[in-house]
Formats: sequence, structure tokens, C-alpha cells
Amino acid sequence: MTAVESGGTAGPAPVVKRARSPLLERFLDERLAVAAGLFLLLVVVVAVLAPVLAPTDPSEQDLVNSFQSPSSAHWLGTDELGRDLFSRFLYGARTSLLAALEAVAIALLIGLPLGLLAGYLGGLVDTVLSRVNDAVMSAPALVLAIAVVAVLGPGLTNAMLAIGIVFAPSLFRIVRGATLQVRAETYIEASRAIGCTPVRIMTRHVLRNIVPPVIAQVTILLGVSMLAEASLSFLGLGVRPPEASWGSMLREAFDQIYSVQYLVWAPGIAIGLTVLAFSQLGDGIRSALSAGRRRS
Amino acid sequence: MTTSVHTPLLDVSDLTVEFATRKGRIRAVEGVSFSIDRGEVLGLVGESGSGKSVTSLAVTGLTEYTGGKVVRGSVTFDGRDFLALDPRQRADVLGRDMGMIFQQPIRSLNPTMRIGDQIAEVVRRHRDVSRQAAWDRAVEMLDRVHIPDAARRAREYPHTFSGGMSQRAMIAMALACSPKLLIADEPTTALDVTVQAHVLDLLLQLQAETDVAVLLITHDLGVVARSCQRVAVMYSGQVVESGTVREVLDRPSHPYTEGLLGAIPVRGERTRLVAVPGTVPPPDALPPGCRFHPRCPYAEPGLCDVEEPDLREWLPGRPDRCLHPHGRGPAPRGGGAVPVRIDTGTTRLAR
Amino acid sequence: MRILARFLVAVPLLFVVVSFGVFALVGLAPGDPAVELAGQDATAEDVGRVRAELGLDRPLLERYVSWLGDAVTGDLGTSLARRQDVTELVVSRIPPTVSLALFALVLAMLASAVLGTLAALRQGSMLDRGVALFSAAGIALPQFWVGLLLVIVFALNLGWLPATGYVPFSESPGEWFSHLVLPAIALAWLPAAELTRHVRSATAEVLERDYVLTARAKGLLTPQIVLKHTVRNAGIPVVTVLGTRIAQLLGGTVVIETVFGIRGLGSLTVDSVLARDMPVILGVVAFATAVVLVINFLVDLSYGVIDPRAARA
Repeated sequence: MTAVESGGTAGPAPVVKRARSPLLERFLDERLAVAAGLFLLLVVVVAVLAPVLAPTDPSEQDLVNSFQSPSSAHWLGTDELGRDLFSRFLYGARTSLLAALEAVAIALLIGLPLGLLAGYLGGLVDTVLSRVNDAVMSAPALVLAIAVVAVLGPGLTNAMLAIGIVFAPSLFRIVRGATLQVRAETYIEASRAIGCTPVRIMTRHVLRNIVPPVIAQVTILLGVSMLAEASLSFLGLGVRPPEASWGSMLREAFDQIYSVQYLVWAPGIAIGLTVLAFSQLGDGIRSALSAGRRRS
Repeated sequence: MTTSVHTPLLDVSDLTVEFATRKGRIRAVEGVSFSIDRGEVLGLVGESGSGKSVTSLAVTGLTEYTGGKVVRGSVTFDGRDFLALDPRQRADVLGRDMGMIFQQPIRSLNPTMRIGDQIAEVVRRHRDVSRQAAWDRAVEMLDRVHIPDAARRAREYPHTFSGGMSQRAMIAMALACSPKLLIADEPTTALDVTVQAHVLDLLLQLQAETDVAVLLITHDLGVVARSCQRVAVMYSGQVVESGTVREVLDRPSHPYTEGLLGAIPVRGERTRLVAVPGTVPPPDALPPGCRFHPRCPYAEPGLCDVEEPDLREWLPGRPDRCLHPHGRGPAPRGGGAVPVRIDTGTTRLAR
Repeated sequence: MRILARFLVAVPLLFVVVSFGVFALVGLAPGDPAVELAGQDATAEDVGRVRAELGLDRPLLERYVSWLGDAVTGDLGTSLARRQDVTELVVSRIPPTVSLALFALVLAMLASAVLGTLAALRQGSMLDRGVALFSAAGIALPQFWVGLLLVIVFALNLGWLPATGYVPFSESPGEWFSHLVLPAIALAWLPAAELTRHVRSATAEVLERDYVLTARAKGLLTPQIVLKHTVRNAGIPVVTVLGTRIAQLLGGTVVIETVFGIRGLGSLTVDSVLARDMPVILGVVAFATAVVLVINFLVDLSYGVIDPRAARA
């Protein structure tokens, strides 16, 4: 095939390929993203099976055995109240993951319809929504979240609501951008020509076609939400004791930091790896998308 | 190093450049050889995709910054094996003994730096002079390339310059240190038609004044006819013919050159770029044997599609890459001089 | 000078919008501060009295306008929790936060400039991959966790640096510095990681440009090319994101100050939220908003300096 080897052959070899989603194929090429996806699958499985996998009740206190370093009885050791850290860790995975999902769901609830409207209708609606969006986006995320929590009061649900609100603008932007692109396509014009109502067009045609970039962004947001939840819980504004999330476990670790330090490792590394996995996955999806656009 | 008149300033021999692409390694340039004497103007002519720009970059050792690698051949400049020098030594030569101008002058100037500073920069790199002296030289050069109000213009930024003026500024920059060789890669192609002639005139004028050798890369035979003493014709990464301008244009010895000159029809369209036989073959799908044979009216099955021709001096002093004895002989074809009309525009090659 | 006009109009407008938004949010908050302040055994009368004292019986808009009027003259009210003048409180907390933020910003910019440029110069090399990894890790790891690690390693185990506290510069420059090193690194971590990515891609893009090839054709050496040709041109897209990064940095102080026990605006924010101390929250938000708006304005201005093409506009 290369000119280096020979003078070249007559023409290109016939191409035979099974019909398979080109997006899926390109995604599988991104090995790192695939690895990240598998890792996340593992995390999800662990979170779902936490009640099954945990050796003890995560809130069960055993003051006699507090502050034990990792051992065979307690894989991650025990905390200041004698609770088994491994169990708390597993349940923490569950809480953190659910929290992230909650936050992103709220962001979608807000950002998706508004983004669709802004992108599809354009004009004044778009201008107003975009300006508001920019204003919200210009505030630092954490401060905004804290402000919302300040109003609503601390607690995991409120915290996730706050985070959802904070991240809705970025989703809005992606949805709006994708909608603008899709709107220019001819099949949208055709739908309009046969008399579809705007709502119908938006829900049936546009929505279906903006799924890929939205998924990429959602994936990344899941990771970032997890970080945000960890920060809020660390500050005491999120998860309420005795419930555990990875973030609140780090708070407990922090409170004890002068006496014991092993409490810090597991939750921190877990958060880091999971968030990293989310961002790699999201990046992989995005690359697969843009590679397709480049070639077509 | 004594250099006699007969030792060329630049001697390129068997230059071969490879690029690594998604499809594997491809050779953009293969076995290219030519030479330039001091004070001589050599035209390197060919279509888009013929490898002429890559050749010019390879001669200056700049292909490594664009992803290419010289895998064979040598470039001897001023008696030294240029490509064998280490990067620092090459950087000392570039700008000082070799100047280069490019096709898109506006893009080739740094938008956040004043024109005068960009010219002064090359002066201070190669000469031990003060900032003021370098600036003065910059203004002087801008003046020499006929930029009006040079002192004021030197303080401006490139976005205030037109295409023609930018190219003049590039010329000023390339010649600021009085190099021995100027490499001009399609210097007028991207300019307005009205401006092209002026810039070309400027180049020729400066060449006459400074006696700098010029490697002029172009796709326009008219330009070659006006400005060059010798010419090398490139096709599909190879030199297919070379000689003096008179000789090559009056009595071409390669069918491709003949085709360019319009003396004989070439199979396929000449002036439209279409995806049918009749365009330069892509480097990763070359035809067997002679690269030109699918478009050649003389092509002989069994010979031209099998054997790869070397660059050989079938006629003395006129190497060419054709195996077929077509019309090549002591007398002009057809019993009379082939009328060849050459002026800018009529013999423009397909792009 | 159109920028100046925009500044004079847009900034106060945005400020009013944001502060009103927060004011309204606060007004919607469940719970009644008057009830809480009046105490456990208060009668309805007492609560009514407290409410009148605090001015909470007036309509929302009136309250906001009065607050705004006071705020502009520098009077931000009194803290509910501490019985302290809010303005005084906010001002006293500024130096630690500003020192921390500036220190971190400088660190982040230095690190990202160096790492990003080196990575762009040696694309595909081990260094490039290492930098990419650092970037990814920096973005994924929680900032406060990095802070915790730093405390564990450098303060508790090695004892090189103090774990908490802040010492004013006027008291002791050395102590000021040593107390800020760890928190600044923890705070700089995230923006450094993100900026490195931006610097790398901007620089890589510039290195592909024609004028860089021209520079090489002139015989310029790589360090010269980087300094004189790439920096300014790569700086343009980087400055674009700098504004948001700075805002983010300020948000990060909230957590870092908590970890390192620094009594700055960040920890004040957390404390006042936990205590539902509305005047303080409003005061801090007002201050933070004003700062962010000014910074964004400065960033816009800087375009004119960096990019001569923008200067004409």
C-alpha cells in the first residue's frame, strides 16, 4: 500500500464491512476511554451490591475497637467510633454515585429543555436565555452551590440540587450548540414543511440527534458533580451523619488528622480514580464524535 | 575552501523525503537532483502535489518541522554537506547564507510583532550589531523593496500590510543579511494578479543588484520564462527534466513538459482538476513503471508501464526521465520550430 | 474606550442583578431569622418586635434597595451571629484570602507556562505524556484531598511547614510565606492542571503556524522562537480562560481555608452559611461579585495589550 514498497497496485482493495454503529467503533478505538468505562462499570457494580458486599452495617459503632489500622478483620480499619471503614467505603460509593446522578439529573432537567428552546427558537428567547446562562456561569461553581445550600439548608438532596443548578448552564450550552447544528439539517426543514409542530420537531427529531454530544457532557458532569459533592460534604454542607459518602469520610479523616492518617487514603484515591474515569470516558466519546465529523 | 566557478553553490543529489501518515510512510519526493551556480536563477516547476515545496523545505533542512524526514540523498551548500550539520550549525546558515520566502506572506509574519522588529531580528541573530543598527538595516531593506514611507511602516504590525506589501517585507527579511541563496516558494501565487508582476520584477531587480542565487519554485511557466536561466521540471515527486530555459521550453525532452507547453495533447483534461485519470497520482497509489505513463500519449505497453525510468542524459546536459525515444533528437520535431507562446497566464498549469 | 463605557454600565448592572438574586433567595429561605434570634421563650410580640428591629417587616424590594444603598456607601449591616459590623468583618478577612489567592495564582501560572510549553515543544514524548497525566490527575483529585496529603506529608510527618494558620506579612514575612506555601500549592493544583492543558494546546497550535516556520528559516533557535514568537500568540487564547480560572480559584479558597485553618473570606463564607447568618453571606457575596466583575473587566482590557489586532477595536 505504501509507495515505499512497490510501484503501487492498480486500485484500492474492495472494502467489506459489517454494518455496525460507526460511533461505537470509533469509540472502541479509544482504548483509554474503554478502560475507563470498564472501571466505572466496576464502581457501579460495587455501589449497587454494597449491601451484599459490606461485612457489617456501616453505622454500627464499636467504640472498643476504634482507630484500628487496616487488618484482616477490618480491611480498611476502623474510624473514631469503631465503625468498619470498608463497609462505610462501599456504602460511600453508593451515596457518592447516587448523589452525582441526582445532580446531573437536575442539571439535565433544567439545561436540556432550555437549551432546546434556545437553540431551536432562536431570536429573543435565545438571547435572553443565553445571557442568563452566561451570568450564572460566571459565578464560581462552589460559591454558587454554597449560596443555594445556604438558602435551602444543609443536606444531601439540597446539596445535589445546588450542584445540579450550578452545572445546568454548561449542559445548556452543549444542548443549545448541538441543537443549532441539527436545526440546520435538511430533515428538519422537511419536517417543518409537512407541518410538524415545533414541539414535535424538537422532541422527535432534534432530541434524538443531539444525544451523542449530550452524553459526552453528561459523563464529564457526573465526574465533576462527584467532586462537588465531595467538597460540599467535606464542608459539612452535604451528607448528614451517620450516612457516609466519600466526601464526608474525608471530613472525618480530616477531623482526626492529628492522631491517625490512614483514613485519608481510600476515599481520596477512590474519588480521584472515579472522576478521572468519568472524564476519560467523556473525552473518548467526544473524540469518537469529532473523528466521525472530520472524516465525513 | 576554494570555490571555482564550476563548483555549484547548491548541489542537490538524489534527495528523497518521506512523511509518516496514517496510511503509512509515503515519499513526497524521490531521487531529486539539481544544482544552482552562484548568481544563477533556477526555476523548479510543477503542478500542485509535484513535491516542489517539499523539496525546497528539504533543501533548507526544515522538513523535520513539518513532519518529513530526508531518508536519502545529500544537499551540498557552499561546499559543505548541509544536512549533515547539526541543528545549531544549520540554524547559523539559515537566514545568513540562505534566505527563504513563502507562498502566503501574511500568514508567514508574526501578527504580534512589528515588521521592523521581525526584520531586525534576523540581522541581530547573525550579525553582532546594536539594536539601533539592526533597526536601521530593517528600514533600509524595506526601502529597497519599495515600501513607501519605510521608517513609519517598520513600526507597524503585519495586519496593516496588504498581500503584496507583506511579500515585499518577507523579501526584505530574507535578503537582510545578504545571503548567497534565496529560496522563493511560489512567491507570487497567492497575490493579486496585478501585484504579481511587480513583485516578480522586484525579485529580479534585487537579484541583478545583489547577484544572489535564486531557487524559484512555481507552477507558472511564464514566470520561469521571464526570470530563470535554468529550469527543472517536477512531476509526482521526481525531476523529470532539466536544462536551460531556452532548451527546455523550445525543445522539451519529456512528454510531460511537452504537454505543459501545449504542443501535444495530453490524455485527460489539462486545465481542470477532476477525479479521473489525468491528475498527478497520489503518493500512496503510484502507477507501475513510469509515473507519467497513464497520461502520456507516447506510452508503450510493456516498456513504460513496467520499467521505472532514471534521470539520464539522453541529450548532453539535459537529463530527463523518459524511456521512449519520442521526438527527442538532434532536430526539432515536425521539421520546424514548435511555436510556443509563453506569457503569464496562458501556460499556467492545472492546480 | 468603548470598553470603559461598557464597564461603567455593565458592571454595576451585573452587580445589582447578582446581589438582588442572592437577596431574594435569602428572602425565600425557610426559617425566620426573627424567630431564631428572639430565642426559645419569645412570645409572638417579642418576635414581632425583633422583626421590626431588623426591618424584616418591610417589603422585599424596599429592603433590598435600602441594603443596596447602604452597601454602596460601605455599610453592610451587622452580623447576626457575631454582633459585629459586617464590613469590618469582611475587611479583616480580606488579607489572608488575597494573599493565598495571589500566591496560588502565581504558582499556577508559572507551573502551567513551563509545563505547557515544554509539553508542546516535545509533543508525543514521555514528558508530554507525563504532563498530560499530571493535568488529568490534577483535575480529578479533590483539591482538599491534595491539601490533606500535603499536610500529612509536609507538616505532620516531615515537620517542615506549619499545618494551619496565617501570619500577616507585616508581622513576619518568613512566617507569612511558610504558612502560605502548602495551602497555595493545594489551591493552585487545579487551576495549574487546567491551565497547563490550555497552554499546551495553544502553544502547540502556534508552533504549527507559518510564521514559526519563517522564524526557523531565519535561523532563530528554539528558545528565541518560544519566547518571542509563541508566548504572545499562545497567550491570547490562554488569557481568555484566565478570567474564569481566577473566579474558580476564589471559590477554591473556601475549601482550602477550611483545611488549613485560615481565617479568610472562604472560611467566613462556610461559617456564615452553617450559621444562616444572612447579612454576612450577603456581604461576602457582594464583595466576591464585585471582585470577579473587576477581574473580568481587567482581562478584557488586557486583550488590547497582548493582541495588537484587538487594540484597534
